[in-house]
Amino acid sequence: MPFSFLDHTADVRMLVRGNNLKDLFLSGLLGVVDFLKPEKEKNAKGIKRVVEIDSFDKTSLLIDFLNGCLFLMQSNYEFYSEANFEILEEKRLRAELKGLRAKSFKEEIKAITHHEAEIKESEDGLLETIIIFDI
Amino acid sequence: MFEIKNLKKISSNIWEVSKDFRQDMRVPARIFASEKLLDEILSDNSINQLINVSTLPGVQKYALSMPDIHEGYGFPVGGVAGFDFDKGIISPGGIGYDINCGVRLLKSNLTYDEIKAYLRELTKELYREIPSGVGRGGRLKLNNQELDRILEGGARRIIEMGYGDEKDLEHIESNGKLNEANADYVSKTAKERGRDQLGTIGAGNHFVEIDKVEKIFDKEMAEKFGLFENQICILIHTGSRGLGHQVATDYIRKMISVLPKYKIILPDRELACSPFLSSEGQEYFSAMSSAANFAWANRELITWEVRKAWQNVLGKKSAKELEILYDVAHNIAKIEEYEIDGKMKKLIVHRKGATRAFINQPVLIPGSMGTASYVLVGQEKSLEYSFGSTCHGAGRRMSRARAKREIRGEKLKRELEERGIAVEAGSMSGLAEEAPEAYKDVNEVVEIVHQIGIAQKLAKLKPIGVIKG
Repeated sequence: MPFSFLDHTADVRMLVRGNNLKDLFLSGLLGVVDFLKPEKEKNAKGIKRVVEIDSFDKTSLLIDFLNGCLFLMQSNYEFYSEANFEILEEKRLRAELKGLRAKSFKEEIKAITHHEAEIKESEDGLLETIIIFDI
Repeated sequence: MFEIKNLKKISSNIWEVSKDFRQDMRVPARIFASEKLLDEILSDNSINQLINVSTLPGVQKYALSMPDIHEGYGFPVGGVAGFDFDKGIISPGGIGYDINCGVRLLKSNLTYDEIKAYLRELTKELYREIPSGVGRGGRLKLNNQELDRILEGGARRIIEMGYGDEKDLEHIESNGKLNEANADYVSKTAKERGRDQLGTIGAGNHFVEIDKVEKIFDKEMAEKFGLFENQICILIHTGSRGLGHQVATDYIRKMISVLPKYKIILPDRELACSPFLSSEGQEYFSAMSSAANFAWANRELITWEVRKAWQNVLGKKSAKELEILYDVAHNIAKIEEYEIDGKMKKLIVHRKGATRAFINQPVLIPGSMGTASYVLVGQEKSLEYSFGSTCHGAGRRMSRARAKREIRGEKLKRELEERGIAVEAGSMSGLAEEAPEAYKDVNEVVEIVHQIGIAQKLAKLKPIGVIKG
């Protein structure tokens, strides 16, 4: 699994893994969408959005990317299943998001936090990080 | 995990991690807890998070945790810290994403016997009138100018719009408005997230509850507050909704980017902070104050909705009987003065999951569904021991995932109803997450702050109707 949920007393702790940075960022997005449990709108139309983010380093870039996607999903009632990263550098990204309109979300996320987040290489050579959601 | 052997017992129910425990600690970390609660507290990462707080620039005396402490992110939930006004920092992670999440208690003149025949209908009507649950918008969709006025005017502005009573303001912490608010420092995205959310409780642990006063501990003080046994009260627990969440997100991001500029080194990025008097610190404080005002306006509009539901069920005259006992914030930063080393000093007090407890101020402690909630009264020792603060609730002990695995929402609803508690909830899994078993024993938590002397027990409330998203 590109993401899995671990225990946390009050919030949500997610472990995200990926073969490379693009894969890791997409895994994070898919984990957020999985948690939100969107209900697809009947005959939902496809949606495309472009996000551009500058950040402090690659870990902050991931958290800022996920917070940016969270804002778009919750305020526009949509969810994404694809992210094509046209640019994904240490401190900057530009991505096209593809997804569908949502009728509702079963769960809410207040924010994606920076707590415990640190992108590093695991023993099996994958990139991974913990991400905690405030719910 | 942190080990008990590293704790020193200062006195009954007060424990300390010495400043020498970790090289980066600037002050000790203090924990208010019984031995029984300590076992639960040590089972997660909360003490390490408290130690992290003790490393922040300008921190005074000690980083403190209340007996309802549990693992959060950045600060633990149940954490309190005071920072030097001139040389200290302000940290959005020390306030949390739900800025001015708080509690308001409305008191009626009716007894349980007088409303018990209407309890189910009243619970349903409250659920109908107060939008709750994930993504539910409210009855107002504000334009930019109207929203800015709410952000800068707080509860007063929503009353001016016709939703509330002028005299309500006397019974709200800071009279429902922080003067430092400036809507210009709240981003467009934050405003977008909050635009239609006034008057809504949201999901998670937020609720509206019908309570019966089960026990009075201090008759004289209870009379002063207008509380009596068997009285019906309504408890509202919610905050600044998506607007506050986005303000925190925006400023944590901004403060991470300026950490090198201020040469601040942190053990956890979620503690991102800036000197209070820096431009970033002042801008965040203005934005946080705006979000706090939004939360007070939110609880004021919900009060209007509660009064409407009450009137729909119990008749026109009865709605006037619902008066505010008090409204307290439990996620906020305030400028307050305390004695430090024999001198009065201005501090930025951060309360994340902690309630202000000034002398003779009502303190509201929501418990979990099916257990009890409390009204306490702030005591003088809170100024000496805890930067004028006390606990804010029971405190979680079980993760939401585990609660959902172990508890069925439908079964819990049935059990609560068998015990005379009417339940209206939008999500059965959300209800399961908030089951009483998921929380610490609120009686034990309250007993600790009572024994330490920072807040005294005044009344115990028993839930009889629960409205959740």
